[in-house]
Amino acid sequence: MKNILYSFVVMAAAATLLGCGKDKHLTLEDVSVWPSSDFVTKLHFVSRLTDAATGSTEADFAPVTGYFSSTVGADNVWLGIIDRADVTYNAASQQNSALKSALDLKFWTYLAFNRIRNGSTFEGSALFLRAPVTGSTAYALGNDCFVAGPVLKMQGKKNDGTSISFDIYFRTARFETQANVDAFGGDNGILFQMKRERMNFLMVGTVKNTLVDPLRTAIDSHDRSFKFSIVEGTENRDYAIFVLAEEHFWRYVGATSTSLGGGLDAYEISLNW
Amino acid sequence: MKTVILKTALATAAIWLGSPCAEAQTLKVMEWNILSFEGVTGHANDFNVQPFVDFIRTQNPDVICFNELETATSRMNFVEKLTEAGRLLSMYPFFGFSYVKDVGYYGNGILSKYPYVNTYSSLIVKPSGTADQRSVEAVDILVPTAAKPEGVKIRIVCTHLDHQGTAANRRDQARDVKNKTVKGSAIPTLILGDLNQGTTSETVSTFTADNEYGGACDRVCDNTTTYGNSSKLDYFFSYPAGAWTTVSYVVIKTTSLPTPLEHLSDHYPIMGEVTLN
Repeated sequence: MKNILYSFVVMAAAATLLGCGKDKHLTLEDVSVWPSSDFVTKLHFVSRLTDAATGSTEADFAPVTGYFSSTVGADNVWLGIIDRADVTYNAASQQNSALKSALDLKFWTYLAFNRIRNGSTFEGSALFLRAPVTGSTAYALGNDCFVAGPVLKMQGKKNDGTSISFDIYFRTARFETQANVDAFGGDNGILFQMKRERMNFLMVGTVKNTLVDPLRTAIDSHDRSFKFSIVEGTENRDYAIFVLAEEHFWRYVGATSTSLGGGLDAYEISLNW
Repeated sequence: MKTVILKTALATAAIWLGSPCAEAQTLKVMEWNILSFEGVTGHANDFNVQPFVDFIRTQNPDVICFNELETATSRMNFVEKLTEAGRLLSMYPFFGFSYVKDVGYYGNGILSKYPYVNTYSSLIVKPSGTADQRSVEAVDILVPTAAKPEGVKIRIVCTHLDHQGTAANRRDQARDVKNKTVKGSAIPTLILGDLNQGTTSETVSTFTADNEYGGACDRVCDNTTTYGNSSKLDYFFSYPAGAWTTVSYVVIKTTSLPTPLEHLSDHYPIMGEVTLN
């Protein structure tokens, strides 16, 4: 318990101090508290890791429902990210098909919006959650793309089985173009903005395979304390899943994957905090 | 050459007709206190969203603000009612938390055909004498237009003020709502809500005046009663003043509609259509 309290105090103090500072070169190099293997949380990322949407009809999302209800058990999930749960505008018969899956699983949903394509397709992820989102700030990643930033109620466990829950600043995006990467890095880029606002954010998203190295370079050149990890098993897909967080707050541990059929895969991502 | 031009024209027309850009920056919005999908006394609706959805479809709003939204409670079999309505209407849901009720929640809900990029939910002031905790919600939606296919940002505000305490309490809550959602903002905004207050009240003038809580709003709604034939309680404002043109506004007197529509709620839904100038 002491350790938990100490960790939180240090994290809160560091975040507060850093959030108020005017120095562009924010750093936690003097802080010696690190994520512990005693504290584990898991989230789930469902994706085709291609340019295709997860589905267009409610039936397309049945494997997603099956994964959460049968494979992992919906009660064990605090965050499911259903990548590319896109909606195509139609004044007469628009379909937001991921909602059926969320309803069946008794999840709350939240749209992690990414972009509008061709003026009519609304692209983004459906977040499956245990509690409603109370707020979110989006960051423009260039002219037409966004990093979504909702506050989420995380659930994790200590190694003795104790459940722990607190609010986290979650971020997600899909990096599809070099322009997205350019907007993210740099002295006044989105990473800098997000870091200034909430240094303890956790970002999980996808990046086009050809942009993995440019994105890593953009992050490293800005601040090497932000660790950029590619989820194993996604390195050679059209898109890779990445985890990005400041090293004093979160540590990527690993992931296991489950095929849901039809080119759809689910990744259970483990993290320490 | 003629054929090419004709084909191009037809293709352009098809794209234009099938795209939200055809709607320009005109939005149809609905405000409705839905009495938790419960049905009025003596006419239990058993929290069935379907008759509400069937009626809403006839109005085809782009955005809806629901008040008195109870959801995911045990008497609802833990079903999240806003998502259920959103699924049937194919709209994006955003729930606004006021307080925990049973194992679920109570608050307001926003449904939108257009995606939201930013969301905000906040409790509002609770002066002495008020019935329970109330809240305000805001979502910034992106509406694609021909000139800006990546979307024009428009803010939708949804709130429900106290019904039990004094007029001064509601005025203070209105000030808080405006302060939190409009003050200092340059984003074109539509404000919807059950204000539980008449048209000549300080609560209403808080929104229409340019004051320390934010710039002036235009009142889109007229004085037609929205709670039986006696009270005007539900409102629709646009912000900033002069930025929107009203295309239409109507209070739908559901009591004159066939069963079960006349018994769904003790408030009438209001519908307004506005265009951003």
